[in-house]
Amino acid sequence: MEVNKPALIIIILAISLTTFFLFALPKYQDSKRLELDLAQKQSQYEGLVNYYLGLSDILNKIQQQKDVLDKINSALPTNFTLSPVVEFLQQKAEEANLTIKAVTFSQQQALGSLASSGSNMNVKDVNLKIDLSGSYQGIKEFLASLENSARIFEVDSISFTSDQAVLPKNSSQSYDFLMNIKTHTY
Amino acid sequence: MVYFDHTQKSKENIMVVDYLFYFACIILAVSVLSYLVFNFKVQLQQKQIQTAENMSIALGTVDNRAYSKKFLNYKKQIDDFTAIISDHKITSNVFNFIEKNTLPDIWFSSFNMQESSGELKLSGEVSDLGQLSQQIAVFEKSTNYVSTVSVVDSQENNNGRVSFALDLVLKPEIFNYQTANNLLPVQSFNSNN
Repeated sequence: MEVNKPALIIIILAISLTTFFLFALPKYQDSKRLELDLAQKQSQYEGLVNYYLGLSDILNKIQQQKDVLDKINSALPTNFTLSPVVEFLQQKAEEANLTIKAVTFSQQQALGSLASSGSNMNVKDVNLKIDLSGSYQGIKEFLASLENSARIFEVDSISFTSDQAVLPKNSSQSYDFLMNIKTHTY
Repeated sequence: MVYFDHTQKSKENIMVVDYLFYFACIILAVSVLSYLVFNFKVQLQQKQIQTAENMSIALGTVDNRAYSKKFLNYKKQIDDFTAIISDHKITSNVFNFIEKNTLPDIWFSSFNMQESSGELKLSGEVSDLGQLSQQIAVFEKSTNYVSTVSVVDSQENNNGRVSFALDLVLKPEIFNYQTANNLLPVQSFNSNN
C-alpha cells in the first residue's frame, strides 16, 4: 500500500504539536507549580518541627526556673481565694504590731489583657479596704512588707487622722489608718 | 541526460521526505515521552505534597497543641507580671519624703494620699506662720517629687500655734522603686530662703 509520506509527516507533526501543547506543556507547568508547593509544604513542615522543638526546649528551660515561676504564680494566681490574702495581711500586721479591725473585699475588676497573647487569661484587680490601728512606725513596716511581698500589692490610698501629732514625730502611739490596696489575679 | 536528472532529483526528494518523516516521528516521540515524564513527575510530587501535609498534621497532636497552649500561658503570665512589676508603686516613699522634708517645729495630724492622682492632703500644726511658709517653701523646692503645693487653710489656735491644711500634688516619680534610695535627707534650711 502506497503511503502518502508528506501527508503522514503533516499528520505526525500535528499530533506532536497537539500532544506537546495540550498535554506535555500543561503537565510541565503543573510540575513547576507543584515543585513550588512541595518546597513550601516542606518548609512549613520543617518550620513546625523547629517550632515544636524550640517550644519544648523553652518549656524545659522555664520549668527549670521553678522558683521564678512560683514567684510569678504567687504574684498572679490563676485561682483567687480571699483567705490566704487576709491571712497574709493579718500576719504582716501582727509582725508590725498593728491590729486589723476590718477588711472589706470589693469586686474583682477585669483589667483586660495586659499583654497581647494567644491566651485568653485576663488580669483582674482585687480591691481591699483595710481598717488598721497601730503606730506610725507600724504602718510603715506594714507598707514595706506589702511592697516587698511576692504577692504584688498596690496601695491606692492611705489616710489617717488624729488630734495629736502623728507624723513625723510620734511613732509609738496608736492611731487608726485606712488603706485601700489592690492585688492582681487571673 | 534529462531523464537521469529527473531520477536523481526524485531520489533526493524521497530522501528529504524520509528525513522529514523521521524527524516528525522523533518530535512525536519526544512529545509523548515528555508528557509521560511530566505526568509521572506530577503524580510523584502530588504524593510528596500529601506526605508533607500528613506529616504536618501529625505534628499538631494533642500533646503538641497542649505544649503550645502551655507556652502561651507562660508567656502571657510573664508578660503580665512584667507589666505589673514595672508599674509597681512604692507608697512608703511618700512617708520617707515627708519625714525628710518636714521642719522640726511642724507636725502633721492628718494624712490622706491618693496614689492614682498623686494628691496628698496634709493637715497639722506649726509654731507660727513663718515656719509654715518655710515648710511650704521646702515642699515647693522639692520639684523632683512635688508638682504643686497649695494652702487650703491656716488659722491661729487658742494655744498660739497655727493649724494648717496643705494640698500637695505629687509627681509619679515619687512612687518609683528607684526613688526609695534616691530620697535625699532633709536639706539644711536657711530662714533667709
